[in-house]
Amino acid sequence: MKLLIVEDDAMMGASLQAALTNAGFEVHWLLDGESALVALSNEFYRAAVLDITLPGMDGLSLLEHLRASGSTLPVLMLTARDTTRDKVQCFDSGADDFLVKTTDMEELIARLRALIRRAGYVGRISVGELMIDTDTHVATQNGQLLNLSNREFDLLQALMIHADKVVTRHQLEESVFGLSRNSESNALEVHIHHLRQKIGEASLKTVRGVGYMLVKP
Amino acid sequence: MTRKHLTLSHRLLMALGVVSFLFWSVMATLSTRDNIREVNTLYDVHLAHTAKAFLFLMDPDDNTLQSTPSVMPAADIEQLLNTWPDLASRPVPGEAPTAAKATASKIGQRYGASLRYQLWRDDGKLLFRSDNAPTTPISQTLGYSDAPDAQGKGWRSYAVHDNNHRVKIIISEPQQFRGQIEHSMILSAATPMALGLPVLFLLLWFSIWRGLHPLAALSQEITKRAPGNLAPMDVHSVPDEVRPIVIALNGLLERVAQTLDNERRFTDDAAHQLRTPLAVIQTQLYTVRHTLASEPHQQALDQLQGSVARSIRMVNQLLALARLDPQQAPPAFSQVNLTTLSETVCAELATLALQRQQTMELLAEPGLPSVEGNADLLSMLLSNLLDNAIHYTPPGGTIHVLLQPTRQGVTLSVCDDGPGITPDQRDKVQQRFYRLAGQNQPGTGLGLAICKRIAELHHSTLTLAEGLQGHGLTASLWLPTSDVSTPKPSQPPHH
Repeated sequence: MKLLIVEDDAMMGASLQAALTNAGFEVHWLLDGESALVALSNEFYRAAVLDITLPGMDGLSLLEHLRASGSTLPVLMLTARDTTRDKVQCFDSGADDFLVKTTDMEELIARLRALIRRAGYVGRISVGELMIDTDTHVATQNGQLLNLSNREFDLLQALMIHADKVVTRHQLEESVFGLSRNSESNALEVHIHHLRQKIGEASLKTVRGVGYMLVKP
Repeated sequence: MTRKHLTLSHRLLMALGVVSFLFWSVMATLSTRDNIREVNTLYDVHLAHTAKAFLFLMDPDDNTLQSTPSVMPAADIEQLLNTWPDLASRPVPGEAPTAAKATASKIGQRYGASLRYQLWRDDGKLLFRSDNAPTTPISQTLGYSDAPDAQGKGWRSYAVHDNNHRVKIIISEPQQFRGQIEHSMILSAATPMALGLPVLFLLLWFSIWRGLHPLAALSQEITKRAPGNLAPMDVHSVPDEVRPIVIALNGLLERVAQTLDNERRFTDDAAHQLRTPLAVIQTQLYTVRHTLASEPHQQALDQLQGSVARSIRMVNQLLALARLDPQQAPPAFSQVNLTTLSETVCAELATLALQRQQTMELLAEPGLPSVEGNADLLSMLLSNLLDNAIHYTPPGGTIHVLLQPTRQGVTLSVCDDGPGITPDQRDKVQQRFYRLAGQNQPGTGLGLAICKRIAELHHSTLTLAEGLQGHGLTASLWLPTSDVSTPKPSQPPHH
């Protein structure tokens, strides 16, 4: 998977390139917005990681140019700024995600993978012995086919995308029932109960009042 | 500050009141004095007139002149005088006030009877006198004179010599008459003043109030301003006198806005400059740990990673605290759904709690109203409280997040069954960089200071108390329900 990184700080760029290469990405690192814009029109990337502060054209203008040209490339803003104003500016300019530079590398990598997946590149997600294919709607455990309803499949998909993170009840309800959910009903608990019976109790943890977490073995 | 209650309107009212009072008094005194002088002249003329009329009526012939002095009651003389047409019908001329005129005519009815009359022959013999007149000359000189009688009563006399009859006529009038008129004239001048002054003061007060209205409006506009509003005020809608103040105020606002902006830019720049090298170290460490590390190095690298994580946390918290500084613009408030917010924050930190085999639970009463606050700051507060609870509660412990409706608001509490904080330490731990003795947890000493500041920004206080099952710690914060009772707004998901 080819990634574009635009970062003017030499040390930061080099270490990002090293870390992401190590995580299995093919990394193309550029130092300024103008050359990035040229590269973006010539090369095919799966995602881009942009800094805001860049010499010449800054990250936000670059992003706006990119979106104006009709590109739907997943873009993650990685910056040292962290105010709400900065975040809003990024999302308004067309960013898909926002991370502060000091965030854990693991989280950056996980988010990049999630962005690429959401963009429809990876149809298959696997966590431990579980695997789902979002194109064929097939779920397997240890190669054995799991007989899941549509709701249970959506639930498992949401949990697997955020494996090892607690997913709130609201997030799960949204991905299973859409926005027209009835938050007072216990329909979610019923589906979780059924899913547990099918994939086993141990891998699905409950945080009462908060949500659920699929544990990576 | 002894004069702090002396407002501008009081000063104006007092100054204008005193000036009006003095002006009115002087004018009234002067005009009354003029009137009195005029009335006195009038009376003198009247007295002279009466003297001449009296002499004409008496018209002493040679026989009478030789006879013994006769005495006549003053009342009879008046009746006699009243037959004299010129004197009886004579009105009081001039511009004398009506009140004085009325008094004069009232006195006039018994005027003639009150006078004393004497008619002296040139050789010094008393020819005629009224019964109330003495036998000695009332006055030694011709013309007008003032002298008291034997009883000490004041009299105004007029003496005139008649060459035809070779007699001197003396008429004297009690001073008391004029005194009464003077008195009533002063009274008639003072009465409207006494009655008018309160009305004048009322009108003055109203005019001052109207006149100072732009000032009051300005002060109201300043009071009504949102604390963070540093936009200049409208200069054109204020009167000329107030404009310099508004212009100066705008200058001040501009400087404050500039200072705040500089401060904010400094914090942002500091954030950028501090974070970038830390991010480089962290990223390099990641690569090293995943590629080069052999087992003996792994422990050192883990410790290095821990230190970097702690530095990052410290920088983040210092920046958070700098942004919460009272000098900075206050945060924008909106309606916050605490249930959704708590769910999101708990989900972020639950992974850490699960790693430490702790039981984390969110207990929210269903259907809680939304509260007035800043969602980002409240997330930061809960995140800090939860982080503390997770770090200080031993593995296997319990952490509860409670949301309860209380007193037109919602109380957010984080309870744990960890070691807790003794009551005497509970205030101190909310100070910056204060850390409890004997702690081996990698804290920054800023978490609770941040929480305290966020609570203050929400006009509330962070309360620390005993935790679950008689030990541990409960940190709670009360937040008021938002006034507008619109249904629960959905909270944007947090990253």
